[in-house]
This record gives sequence, C-alpha cells and structure tokens, in this order.
Amino acid sequence: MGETVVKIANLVKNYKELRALDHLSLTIEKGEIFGLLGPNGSGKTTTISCLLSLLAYNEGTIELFGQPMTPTSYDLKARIGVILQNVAVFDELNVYENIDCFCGLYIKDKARRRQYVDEAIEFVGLNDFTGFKPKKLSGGLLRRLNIACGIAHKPELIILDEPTVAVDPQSRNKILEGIEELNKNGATVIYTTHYMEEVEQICTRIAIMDHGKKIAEGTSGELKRLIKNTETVTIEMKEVNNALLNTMKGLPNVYDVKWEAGRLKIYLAGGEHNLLNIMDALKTSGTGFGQVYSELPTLNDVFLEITGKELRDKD
Amino acid sequence: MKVFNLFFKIVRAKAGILFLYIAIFLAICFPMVHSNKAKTDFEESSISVCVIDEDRTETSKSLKDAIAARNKLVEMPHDKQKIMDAMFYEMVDYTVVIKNGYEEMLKDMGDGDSAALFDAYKMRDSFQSAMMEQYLSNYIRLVKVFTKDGMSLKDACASAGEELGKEVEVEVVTPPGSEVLDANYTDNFALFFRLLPYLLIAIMVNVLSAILVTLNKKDQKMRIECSSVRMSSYMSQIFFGSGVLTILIWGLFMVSGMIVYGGMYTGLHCWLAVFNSLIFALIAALMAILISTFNPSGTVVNMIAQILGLGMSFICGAFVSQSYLGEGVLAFARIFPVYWFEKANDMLAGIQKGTLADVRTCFIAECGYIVLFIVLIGVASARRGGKKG
Ligand SMILES: Nc1ncnc2c1ncn2[C@@H]1O[C@H](COP(=O)(O)OP(=O)(O)OP(=O)(O)O)[C@@H](O)[C@H]1O
Ligand SMILES: [Mg+2]
Repeated sequence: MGETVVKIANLVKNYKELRALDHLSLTIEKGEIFGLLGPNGSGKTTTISCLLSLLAYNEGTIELFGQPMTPTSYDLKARIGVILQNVAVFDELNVYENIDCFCGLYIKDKARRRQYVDEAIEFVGLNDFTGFKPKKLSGGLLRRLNIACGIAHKPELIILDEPTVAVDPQSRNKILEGIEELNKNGATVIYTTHYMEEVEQICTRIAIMDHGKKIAEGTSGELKRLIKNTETVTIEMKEVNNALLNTMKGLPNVYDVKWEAGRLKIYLAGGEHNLLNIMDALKTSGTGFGQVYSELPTLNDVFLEITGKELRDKD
Repeated sequence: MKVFNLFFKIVRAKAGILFLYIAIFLAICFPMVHSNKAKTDFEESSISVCVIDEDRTETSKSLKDAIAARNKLVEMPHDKQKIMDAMFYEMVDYTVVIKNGYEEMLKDMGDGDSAALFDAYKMRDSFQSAMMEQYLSNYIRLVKVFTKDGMSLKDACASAGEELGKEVEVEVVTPPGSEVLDANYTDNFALFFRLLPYLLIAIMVNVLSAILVTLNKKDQKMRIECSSVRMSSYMSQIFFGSGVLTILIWGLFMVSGMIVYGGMYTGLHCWLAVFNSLIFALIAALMAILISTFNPSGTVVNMIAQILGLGMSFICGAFVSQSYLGEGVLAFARIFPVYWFEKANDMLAGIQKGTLADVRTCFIAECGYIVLFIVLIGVASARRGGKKG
C-alpha cells in the first residue's frame, strides 16, 4: 500500500498496578480506515492517548508519518485531527464559534478558515444550528459538533475515539458515512469502538483488543476465517430433551450445541447442507419448533472464540 | 492570538454577571455617598406651625411673618379642641399663641422672661417643639439686644427675623486624633473605595476563576494539547488575557467611581486611593487564579467568592470603618490583604490618623500579598502538573 502513517511498537502503559497496554504493536498504512475494537476497559482510549503524546508510556516506540511522536512534535500534531471520547467543546461558544475556535488552532488564515468552518458545518449537517450553544444540542448533534471541531482543518490522519456512544441511529449513520467520505477524500482514519457492526461496516482493517493486548488483526473476512465457526443455526423452541441435544451434537460439522432462553443454538465448522441435516433431525424427533435461522459468524464470535467471553454486554 | 480571542469570547458569556455587579454597586453606592453628604450639611427641617395672634399689632405680625419665612404656616381658629385634633393627626407640629398685650410687654419687659409673652399647644416634647421654643426665645433675645442698641421696635423685630432666617453654617468636624490630609478626598467619597474589595473579589472570582476553570477543563485542555498550538503559547495567551481582563474590570470601576465622584479625580489622596485599588485589583485577580487551580465547579466558585468577599470585607472594615471595629478583630484582620487596603484608604480619607509614610507601609504590605499569591499559584500549578500521568 505504501506509506506507513502510524507505527506503534511494543507499547506498554502501566497505571500503578494495572497494566493498561501490554506490548501492543500496530501498523497503519495511508488510506486505511483502521478499526480498534475491544470491550470497555480494553485499552483503546489509552492507546489513542499515548499515540497523541497526551500520556507518558512506560515502554515502546510511537512513530507518526515516519517520525517519532513527542509532546512537542507540533508539526506532526498539525497533520492530525482528533475526536476524543469525551465531547470537548466550550459551552460558552456557539456551534460556529466552537468549530472556528478549534480550526483556528491549526489554520491562521482567516479567509481559508472561514471556508473550512463552513465546509465542516455542511459536512456534519449542522447548518440549521450554527447559532446554538452546545447545551441546546441533542446528544447526536453534540457528537457531530465534536467531530466537526476535529476535522475542520482537513487533517491527513483522523483519530476518532468512540464517536457514536449515546448517539441515535440517524446521527450514527450520518457519522459513519461521513467517515467513509473523509477517507475517500484522502484521510487515514483510526476508529475505536466496541460496536462490531460499525467496524464491519466501514473499516478496511481491524485490530481486536482485550486487556491491553492485540488478540487478532486483519480484515473482517480474515478475522472470521481465524476461527472454526462458519455458521450458527438457531432454532426457537419451548423445550428441549437430552435425546434431541445428543442427536444434534452427533450431526456432521457440529462442534457445539447450547440451549438457552428458548433458543437452541447449533455451532458449525465448515461443510455443506448443514441446515438440511438439522431440519431432517428435527422432523424425525417430532419436537415442535418455531423460527429457524442461520447466521454467518460475526466479530463477536471471533472475540468469543478467542477470549471465551462476549465482546460486550448485551444492550 | 487564537487562545486570547477564545478567552475573551468566554468573558463575553460572563459579562452579564460583571455588569450586574457594577449596576447594583452603583445603585447602592451613589445615594450612599451623596446622602451621607447631606447629613453633614445639616438641613433644617421645616415645621408645620399654627400661629394664633391675639395681640394683632404690627409687632406681633412681624413675628408671625418671620416664623412663616422658615416654616409651614397652618391657619386655624383659636379652638383648643380643633387645634389638639390637628396636632394629633400631625397636621400641625406646634401651636403658638401670641398673647394679647405682646407688643406692650415687649417694649418694657427689660430682662424679664419671654415665657409670659406666649402660650403654646404641643403634643409632647418633640424635636419640633424644642426647635420652635428655641427659636422663639432666640427671637425675643435678639429683639431685646437690638432695641438696647437703639433700634426702633419695628426695626429690631425685622432684623431679628432676618438674622434667624439665615442658613445655619455648619462646620465639618473631624474626629479627634485624625488629620484631614486632602479636602479632595472626603470621607464621603472614600466610602466608594472602601466597598471596592468586596466587589473586586466577588467579580474576579466569579468571572476570572470561572473562565480559567473553563479553559482548564480536562477534556477541552487535552483537545487543545492535541493541536499544533504550543502549550507555552497557550499559557502565555491565557496569562495575557487575565491581565487585560483585570485591568479592564478595574478600569470599569474607576469609571464608575468618576460617576459617583462627579468628574475626574483630583488631588494626591484621590489618586493614591486609585492606586491602592489597582494594587488590590491585582491581589483579587491573583486570588481568583489561585482558586481556579483547584478546579471548583460553577456554584462552588460563587460560594467561594461570597465567603471570601463578604468574610474579609466584614472583619477588615470594608462595610464599616476600621475605627468602629474592636481591637481583637483588627488584630486578626491584619492577616488579610483587605485590612491593609482599608487602612490605607481610611488614612487617605482622614478617617484614621496616619501620614503618607504609613500609607506607603500599607501599599508595601499589599504588594507582599501579590508575591505570596504568585508563589502559591506556582506551587498549586506544579502540584497539578505533577499529578498528570
Ligand atoms: N487515569 C487512569 N488511572 C488508572 N487507571 C486507568 C486510567 N485510565 C484508564 N485506566 C484503566 O485502564 C484500562 C484501559 O482503559 P481505557 O480507557 O483505555 O479503555 P477503553 O478501551 O477506552 O474503554 P472504554 O470503551 O470504556 O472507553 C481500564 O482498566 C481503565 O480502568
Ligand atoms: Mg475509551
């Protein structure tokens, strides 16, 4: 692909006793939308903070655009756009003034800045709210303002830390589409989230984190190929008996069967005609059943298989 | 200069509080400074008097006219019941009856008692009755003095009336032991400066601390740290902004002071008082910066402003002059900068004894607080800087 934009090698960060990052290494190429996926507390924000030199780290090296990143690397900082996890805008300033203020930290020329600010407002769709104070904006609009403040100066590298937390579906889609557009216009993007749907939707490459470690990395397809699960068949049924469970377990390609909350889940690894085999077995057993559906593996399955736990609490 | 601009955009959001304080202060201060003045100017109050002239001579009419010139005359028939009713309802303060034979008696009474000339109706021994009785006895005394000098009775009565009708000249008496150092800086106007510490502390903490807290909010500051603005430039722009804001707020008060004063300040003492307030404005600003390093929330900021402002103002003599405060209180108050401000101000106004050298000592003490606060701010920010990751 060419130019390496971010190179993190063997990064270790300790908060007193707690090891928040454990020999983390990441390489991000120009033009990627790189997803950092991990459950709460896995170290995503810590990674971003170290990357931006907001936080001192214990071991490892960080290079941006081929140069070491330090707290005083102002020329590097000028090329980055940052949207941090917590909304950071000034309540005393309205939407326009906030974007202008943050853009002004990078762009000195007034005419150019005015144009950039207008474009950013247009980009996040806040045209009708330019005079609003942040307190008057809904959660979704506030997040969009936060994003506009981070991207108005047209940075080459855009870092977004969970920009869709507490955002309604409409704003979320707008944000995700926006990120893809920024990427099309040439920006490299780092995107952290614990929503696997989001990374699957937009990310060209994904690293999955847990306990400060990178546990897997690749495209969504590559990650799914890492695990043996290829298909999960779910059958809704009122009750189940051991005979049926054993029959299912005995079918070809089935490596696990679980029954919980009125659903029988059958995990399969490869093979063909799996669903047909299952339906035949069901009919022969004579048990009543409701809906039957088959799903391809998700990143949650990847996470589940590698760590033995769910990616996130169901919400 | 982007951060400097940001600073003043946030100031704009707090300007309401600033102008509210100044407006209320002026509304309270203006009449206080000026009504205080009226008290020392001694204004004679006019009294509602009913004069019943039983003598009906030229001499008695002359007295009636003299009374009318200074007081509000109420015409009533000589009916005791009606007069008493009118006095009960406070339509009349004092009723004097000029007895029949007044002129004759006045001509040949010698040094006799003036009481025989009049009858009086009064409700009680009020201030007004005392004034009138005093007036009548002075009048008769003067008439006698003038007739002895060879004036005709008619002329003597006219002159006595004229003499007593003159405005009373009141001398401003300074408290014993104090020196009035400068007539341009009166103790009336000193009240304006005396109240300033409370205002300056309340406003500096409410405005400057609040702005600094906003600019130092963790997320916002982190966001700015990510940008290409140097932290040193960021800090110096904020520092510059704080300085400009302090001078602006102080300037606003000095302009307000001129409104109360009624023009440009004049005289050395007045200007020294202005200088005193400039030093104090710096102290208040540094205090506000120090408070902001503890990152208090909005309501806490206001609470601190009130506690510090009111507390120090009370015990250091901002609301009442230090000359009315007890020894113990003053000994304790010495540890606060407001004490030295007020002491200097009192000495400049001549309310407390003191020379210009004593005033200078107060200024030096205040400057000591400036140094102290700068050191404390340094320590507090180092402590905060050290806490970070
Ligand atoms: N300032 C801090 N002091 C001590 N521990 C911290 C601090 N910040 C984060 N941690 C811990 O470090 C770990 C990683 O936190 P981090 O915020 O990087 O996770 P995250 O992946 O961003 O989680 P989330 O999805 O909740 O944002 C967590 O266990 C957290 O409790
Ligand atoms: Mg986080």
